[in-house]
Amino acid sequence: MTTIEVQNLSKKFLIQHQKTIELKEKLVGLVKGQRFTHEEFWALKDVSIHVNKGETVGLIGENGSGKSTLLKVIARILKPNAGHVRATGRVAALLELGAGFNPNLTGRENIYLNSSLLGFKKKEIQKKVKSIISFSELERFIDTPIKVYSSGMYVRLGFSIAIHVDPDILLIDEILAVGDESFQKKCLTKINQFREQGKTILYVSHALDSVRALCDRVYLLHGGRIRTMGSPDDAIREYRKSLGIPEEDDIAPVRETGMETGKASRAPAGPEPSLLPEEAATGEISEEEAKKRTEAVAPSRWGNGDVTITDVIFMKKSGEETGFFHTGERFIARIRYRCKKPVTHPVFGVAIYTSDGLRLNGPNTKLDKVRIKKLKQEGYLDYIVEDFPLLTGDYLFTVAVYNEDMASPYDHLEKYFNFKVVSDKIHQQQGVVNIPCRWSVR
Amino acid sequence: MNSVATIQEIIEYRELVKNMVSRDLKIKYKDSILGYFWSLVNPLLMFGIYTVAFHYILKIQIEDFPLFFIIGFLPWSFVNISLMTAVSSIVDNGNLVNKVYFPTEIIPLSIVLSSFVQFLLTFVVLFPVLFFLDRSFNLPAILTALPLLIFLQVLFVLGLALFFSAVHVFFRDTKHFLEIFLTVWFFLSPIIYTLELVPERVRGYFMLNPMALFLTAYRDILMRAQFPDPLAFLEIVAFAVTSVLIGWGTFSFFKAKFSETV
Repeated sequence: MTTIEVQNLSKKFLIQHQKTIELKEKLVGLVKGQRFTHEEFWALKDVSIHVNKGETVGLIGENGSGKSTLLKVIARILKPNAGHVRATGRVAALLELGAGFNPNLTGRENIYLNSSLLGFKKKEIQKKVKSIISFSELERFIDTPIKVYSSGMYVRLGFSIAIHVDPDILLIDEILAVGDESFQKKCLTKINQFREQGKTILYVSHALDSVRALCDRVYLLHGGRIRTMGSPDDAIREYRKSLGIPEEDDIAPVRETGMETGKASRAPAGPEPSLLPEEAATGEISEEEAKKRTEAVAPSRWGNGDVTITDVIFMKKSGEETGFFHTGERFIARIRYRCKKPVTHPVFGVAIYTSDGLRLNGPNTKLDKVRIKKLKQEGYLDYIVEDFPLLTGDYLFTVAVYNEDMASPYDHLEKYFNFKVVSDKIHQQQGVVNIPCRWSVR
Repeated sequence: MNSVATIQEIIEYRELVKNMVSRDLKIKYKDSILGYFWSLVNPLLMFGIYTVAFHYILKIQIEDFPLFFIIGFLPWSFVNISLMTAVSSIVDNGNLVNKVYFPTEIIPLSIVLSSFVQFLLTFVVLFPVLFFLDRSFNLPAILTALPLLIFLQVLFVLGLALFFSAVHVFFRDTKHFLEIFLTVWFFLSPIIYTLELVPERVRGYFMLNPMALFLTAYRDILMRAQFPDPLAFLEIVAFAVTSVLIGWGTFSFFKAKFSETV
């Protein structure tokens, strides 16, 4: 069943050289025989998309490609010049958090004002106000004028109201790019709950990681037209290609796009916790790799290149590729390699870090007593965790392959990859790891 | 979207109207000690100034000038304040119009309603004054004709507010023009003079001014304790309806382009 149907939609803007024309100028212009020429700009041209019920669909594309315009047309804020839009169900457009907040009113008063702006009736608001306040974690300040709020508090209140709209269709534009990391986690968890409740979501973002994590399908827009539609990975690959981001050895450095314009996933440069601490420092570094290392502080890569890791893909239990896991699911990292010359008894290792660089583990095949006699010329190796214990957050992933005594690295990709975890249950939000336990009261 | 659907939608959004009106009123008097009392101070002050200037200094020969003046001045202030606030309201609320879908008519509507509430508050003060001055009351007229008259004035003002707020989005001169227009309108309306003082040959033109009709009707009810002239009342109805139709039509014509222009 289709919930959002957009057919042959076109939207034109007139760009005037001056936004407002004063009467005088207009009169002077008329006398002089000037005419105010407007430049036509087609923000959307013949765009058709459909979103089925319960689907989460992403819209990506560079600035000015028409993503936000499309969202605004679907939200009925803009009127199209051609084509039509049909959206069945209650639509909530989260285009800006706290739009219409009044700084002089208290948090509570703003909840009432803002909710009614989103189309709520008084009874509905009264029913939800408690839950809105508790989600925003602003209980102590809720009867204070919001002009004294910090920007983080402001955003928290806005998001909290927005997610309580309880729509059938949710249009989200880049609003996750705000707030601190823990609040982002909370938002992501909430959006994920929406997905599980079978709500339809149309999601616009530059944060490709979150697109990969959340979306079932992705439309790539370019110059107001649909360029491709496909799986998140295909669309993102196409997008990167169009931006001219080089893809060396087919490895997309997925690290670059964190939740918040890359900031969130950048680890602070500290003492580099390497995969194999005692030997890593002695590793040879090729000129090319050395250059690469100076270009980017992290992620980094080094090794002599006898074995190259060509790709790492993350998979869920069903074997499908993803960048995003639930706590408790099976986690598989498939490490693809290629050998330049015959290699015997190599040691593979991985490591997982939190987004602020805390190392969580660092197993390798030698420690785990997995003997690899001889590597095929090309092949792969799976790192499998049955019951993945990590909680909501962005994580960095290191992969390396060393020689038998772990003295020289063939290829070491330090914090080169990332994935995302979303916990389902609210009570699992604290911390990074789920430690199974039981309580005993006497 | 047709008008019926829009009206239904505004009714759907009545909670927003209510909240916007109360926001307006709250903010206006929020951190002030005397609160709502201030909404009475301004008309009282004007009342004092004009009474001294015209009654005692210029010695205008109008019976009961202070009362005559205040009954004209309060409905005029309602028009004046509503329009001056409403004209730039769509532009001022650009961040809303741009980011949230809702019937934009609600913006000027809530402004008119909030100045209407203030108008009523000041009007209430009038009754003790009338009582104190020992004026005769025409209770049937006050209970029937007065509410109807006030309602028609709200419609009339709403039409103008819709018109000016919509036009101002595209022609930002509108606000400056409106300021001048309101000043001229003030002096062309019988607020500080009676129509009897106007030379007879131009008096007919003065009666084309809807404010002249409104103010005369208010004074009929409150000063002369009589029902307004039925024919004049019909004219008022016609003006109110025309104003709403033109205002609504203009607004509907322009509103689709608001979000890309503000």
